[in-house]
Amino acid sequence: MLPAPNPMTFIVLILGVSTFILIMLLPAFLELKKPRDAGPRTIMNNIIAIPQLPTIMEAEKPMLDPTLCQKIAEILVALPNLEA
Amino acid sequence: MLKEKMVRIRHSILGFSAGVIVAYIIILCFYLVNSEAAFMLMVFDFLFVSLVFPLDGSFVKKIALLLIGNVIGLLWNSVFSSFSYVAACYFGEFLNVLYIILNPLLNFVWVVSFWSISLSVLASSKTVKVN
Amino acid sequence: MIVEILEALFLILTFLMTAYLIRHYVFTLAVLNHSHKREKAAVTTRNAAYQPRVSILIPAHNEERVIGRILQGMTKLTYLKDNMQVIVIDDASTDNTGEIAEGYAKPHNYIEVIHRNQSEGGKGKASALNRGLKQAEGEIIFCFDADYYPQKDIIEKLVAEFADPKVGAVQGRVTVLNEPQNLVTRLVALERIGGYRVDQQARDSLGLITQFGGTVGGFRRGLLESLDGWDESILAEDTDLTFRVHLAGYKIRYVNDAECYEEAVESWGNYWKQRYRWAKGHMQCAFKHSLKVLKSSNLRFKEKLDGLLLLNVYFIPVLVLLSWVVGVLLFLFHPPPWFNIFWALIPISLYSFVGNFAPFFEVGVGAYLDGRTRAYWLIPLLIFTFLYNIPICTKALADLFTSKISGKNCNHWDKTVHTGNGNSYIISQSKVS
Repeated sequence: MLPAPNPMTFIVLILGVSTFILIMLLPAFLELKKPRDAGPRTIMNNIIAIPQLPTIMEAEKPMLDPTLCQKIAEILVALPNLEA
Repeated sequence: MLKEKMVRIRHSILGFSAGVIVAYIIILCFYLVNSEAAFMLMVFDFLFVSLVFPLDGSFVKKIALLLIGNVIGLLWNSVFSSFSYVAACYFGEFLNVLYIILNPLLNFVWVVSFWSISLSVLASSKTVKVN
Repeated sequence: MIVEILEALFLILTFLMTAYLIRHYVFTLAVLNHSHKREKAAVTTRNAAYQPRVSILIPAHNEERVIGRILQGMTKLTYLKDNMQVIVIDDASTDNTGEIAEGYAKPHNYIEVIHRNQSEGGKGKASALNRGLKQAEGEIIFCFDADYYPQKDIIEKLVAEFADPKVGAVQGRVTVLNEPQNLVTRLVALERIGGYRVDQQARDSLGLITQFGGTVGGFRRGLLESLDGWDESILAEDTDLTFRVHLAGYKIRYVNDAECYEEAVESWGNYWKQRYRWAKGHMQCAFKHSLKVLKSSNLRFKEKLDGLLLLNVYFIPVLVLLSWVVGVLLFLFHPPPWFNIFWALIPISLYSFVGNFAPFFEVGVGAYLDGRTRAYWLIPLLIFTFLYNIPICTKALADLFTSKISGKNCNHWDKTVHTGNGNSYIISQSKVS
């Protein structure tokens, strides 16, 4: 029968196993604590920033009124002619 | 495109060769590692060679990561086996049962962690190269 | 005798797990190979001449926090508005979902809202979609969940696949919008990467059973009507429809660059509810379709094999748990000589069946192809989502059997609650591209 090992050996090995597991999981904890690649991933051909969702009242008016844009565009086109 | 494809194929073939050599060494050292650990090392090598070597990145880095991974696996096996043996001397059969229950969780933690870090290393070097 | 039974059971279970591991390994290899090839027929996505009339169904039950966002997204779509019909099905909502939707419908004549009251509505997503289908006029029917935010040209990319008459449905890619929120959202984002970027892409490349995921997808209207729409008795109506489309002899195409943001669940409680519903629904589909898949003359052998593996994927956590228990018992009683090698398959499986049951190597390769730099560092933590899935799937199976035995229909649609936190992550661009 093999003799029982030294208690110190047992403690060292416990520390060794625990340290190993911690080291293996350390990158995960680091990324959680100080995320450098938290996403979200940018997908192509997207999107205008919307800092806040419109409330019910604001939702009645679209953010970009196409009619208004067209009018502004018409005015901009006309401006050089006025200058001339 | 063709040049990149040739580089990937070359990396894959060389990586496969490296993996075979490493696997052969593991088999030779069979008496130093238990059968489970040897199997786990082979799985790691197989996945690494077949799925990491075809990715973009320096071949030297891939080889280095493969070797480091095997060293980590062997180190883990030595530490954990020693711990199990010593603990069994103190706690007997109870720990044996605990060991067999937790073994699946613990025995693979190094594979997934190291795999993830390797991908990160390759991805970072790819980002640096593009920049 | 008991030992022999345990050995046989253990061998069967490890064989099944190995089959899934091989399947996912082949998927990962296929995607690595596919990513190096030129993007096939990307030109077809830009075929501006093919713009059939489309109807976009958005079922919404108490989605006041997110409905505005998707409708905003709908107004930004570049698809010809004259050929587009957006139908919001306000399904017996008790909040302001209906009012917000009406707010968008007023200035945009292509947006319509159907209001269902308490007596006709609240019966689940399938019921809501079927109601929307009745009002749909488009040749192609798309579905989007209320918490999604689409890419501007997503419809063009998805519609292009219907140029092939064999294509019955399409599926786009889902990307998590609120990924940085917390640990749950980050892990779900990794699951999505594995599930879509690799799993779905591989199944499409290999000509296997590509799945309709319930959202960011579309169907030929004629096919949908011939299949009598969505089955309201099944919790996973998307999986059910997937197999009915394939069994009818049509293909489902996956379009990886047709992307849409989703708002992922943010708490472990909501994660449980969502996955429980998916697991139970998927298991219902397994019982309904497994034999049909085996007998189908419209499916090739590889499609039948993949179909069976896909149908039974939510049994995997239960099988892994069972093999773990059987393995421990075998070890205690009388481990056979080959035990150590097969026992080693358990850890691979534990780390392999994560999230949507995409293995860790699928998730890693998917993240790499997406150009991620440090998201991989969280992959080891996916073990916790898999371990969490074990009781979820076990309960789902137990509840399914209980309902079968008792004869009670317990298809309670436990809706995923959306917080609207994803709104703050919408990315800005200095120019509109």
